[in-house]
Amino acid sequence: MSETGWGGYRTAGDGGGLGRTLEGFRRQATVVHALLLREMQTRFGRNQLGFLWLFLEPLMLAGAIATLKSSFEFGHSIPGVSMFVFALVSYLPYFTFRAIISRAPGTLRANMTLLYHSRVKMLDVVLARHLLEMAAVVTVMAMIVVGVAIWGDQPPADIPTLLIGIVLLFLLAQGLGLMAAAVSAVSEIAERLIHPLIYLSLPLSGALVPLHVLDPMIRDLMLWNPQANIHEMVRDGFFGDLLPSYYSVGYVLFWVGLFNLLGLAALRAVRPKLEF
Amino acid sequence: MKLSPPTRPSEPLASAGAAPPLVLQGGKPARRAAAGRGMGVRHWFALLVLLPTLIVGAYYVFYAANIYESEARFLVRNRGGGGGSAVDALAGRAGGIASAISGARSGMEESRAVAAWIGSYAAVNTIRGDIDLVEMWRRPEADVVSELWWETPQLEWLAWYFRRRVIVTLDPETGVMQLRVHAFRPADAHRLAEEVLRRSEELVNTFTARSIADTLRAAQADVDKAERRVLAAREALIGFREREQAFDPASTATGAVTTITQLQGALAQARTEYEERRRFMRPDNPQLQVLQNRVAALQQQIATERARVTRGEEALTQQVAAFERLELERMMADRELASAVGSLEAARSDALRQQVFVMRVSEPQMPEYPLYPRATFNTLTVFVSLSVLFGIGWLLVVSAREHAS
Repeated sequence: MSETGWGGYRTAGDGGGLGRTLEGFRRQATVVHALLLREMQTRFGRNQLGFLWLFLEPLMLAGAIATLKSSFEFGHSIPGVSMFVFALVSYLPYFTFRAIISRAPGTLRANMTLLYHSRVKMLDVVLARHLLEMAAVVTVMAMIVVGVAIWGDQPPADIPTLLIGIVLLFLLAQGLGLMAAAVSAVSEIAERLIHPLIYLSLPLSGALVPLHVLDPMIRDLMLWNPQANIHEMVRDGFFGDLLPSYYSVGYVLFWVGLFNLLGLAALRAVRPKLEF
Repeated sequence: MKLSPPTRPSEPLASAGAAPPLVLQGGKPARRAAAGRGMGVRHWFALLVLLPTLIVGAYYVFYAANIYESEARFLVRNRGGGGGSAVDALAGRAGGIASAISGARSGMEESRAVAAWIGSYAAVNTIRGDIDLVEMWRRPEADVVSELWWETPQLEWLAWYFRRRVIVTLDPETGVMQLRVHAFRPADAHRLAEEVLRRSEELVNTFTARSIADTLRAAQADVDKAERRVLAAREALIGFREREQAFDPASTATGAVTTITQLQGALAQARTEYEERRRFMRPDNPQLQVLQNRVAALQQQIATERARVTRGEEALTQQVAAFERLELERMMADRELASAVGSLEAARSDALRQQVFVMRVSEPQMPEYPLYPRATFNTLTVFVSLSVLFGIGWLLVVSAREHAS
């Protein structure tokens, strides 16, 4: 690691704009990589189930909800769409979304000591956490897809759509997480408000129900929420024609861009208060 | 403050912090770099955001060709119910999700089929036989970006362009379909819209014809089968009668049995009378002689009748059994024919009710003002999205460069 990551710093001082930027990116990648490893160590430990928890945690939660839902037979039923698989595919991305945003406020405080290192910037810390969550959800999703394809005899309809949907959700959460981290760094009230807001947003997120079963008027209202669009997209990627879906990628991209811009700017704005 | 326990990343960090190049970089060069960066941002912004926006804007202002839109609205309806009406939609929803998903609303299926057809290769192929689409979308006034790019496009490319210029949307609530056709001349747009609409009507008519033919064909086949069965049953009956020389063995048999019964009754009576007279009459009394003769005659007659009923191959019982089978077959065939004819009648009236047709809500208009391209909106969109992207990129670059400073 030390050779690839830090070997090139001799060129850092003398290079012009582009060279310096590239060098910066390379170093930032190294820092994020290191933080990612550290984050894994602190969060999952070594002696217990270790990294396995990364995959088991969302899988167990989604599985529990799916079992609950299918055993009580409430909600909607769509021919060809298993309740269990539906719950898995719907809830898992939502869990990641929630995990990223609800962990965001604590991220900076938990890693405050790291910021004493001049190499470690706030963005690196946040990025490392988000990437970890992202890796978790992609892995779990892959396991679900393979499992359902083997035992449920239902291969995903469109893997690129599924994958792009998950990446978009991650990027959206990343933008919101940046904002949440920045806001909670300056205001404790805002930090306290984030959790209730996340819970309140669950019914509006479109993760619980396929928009197809909703009244078209309510569906149109729901589609104002970019998150609902993304959940529909993920389900579209998984179920394909079994479940009609409604989403607009352009609309989602717009919000993703806006949130990320605002998040990055906000994090930069609160930097004087936190970094050294 | 105390540092966090030495984790692996912190070690190279510490050594890097003490590295000489960082010291070398202080002072004047740093300030120049900062000033340069400020200029750079402005330059980069001009290059990456303003320039593309200007190019797009200039394209729209000076170069882009006017595009006219001709719009038509129509409804695919069933003759029976109000196809695709709000009432139907409500009924579909009340009937449960399953029915809504299987598309059980009447008229909606045909609407979706029409929407799917427009834009299909078959549709493009049909329409290009009537209208020279290539010429229409390669008018001299069309600009290079928005015109059809190929002079002699293959069907696939033409269809690709067709789908961009001919847009169909279906409102699932009201069932109204909106057809929008874009072309570089008002008359072209109008003509193509009219053509697409006409072809859609034809398609719907073939749906109707096919569905009526399907429904009737099954019913007609039933009727034909029943007719053949009736004819066969009659034939068999006639053949039987000719062969057996009996019009109705059943009634013949009944008659014979009745005769025997009557004869037996008469015989019993005659015997009784004979026995009665014999008690008080002399044996040579002529009256007894008469009775005796009568009994003998009756016995003779009964034997004859019996023989006739149960005689060998032509035994009446067997004849009756065969006859009854044939008679039953004939009755069944008759009944089947009657019911088949009934179903045919029902199917015919059903098919008439199933008739689907296109109801034009609004005819395609002759465009007067070019609604497209939407120059201001598109330019603003380009500007805003590029600005956002630039902002993100810039923030990322700045944070990356901090690592290298």
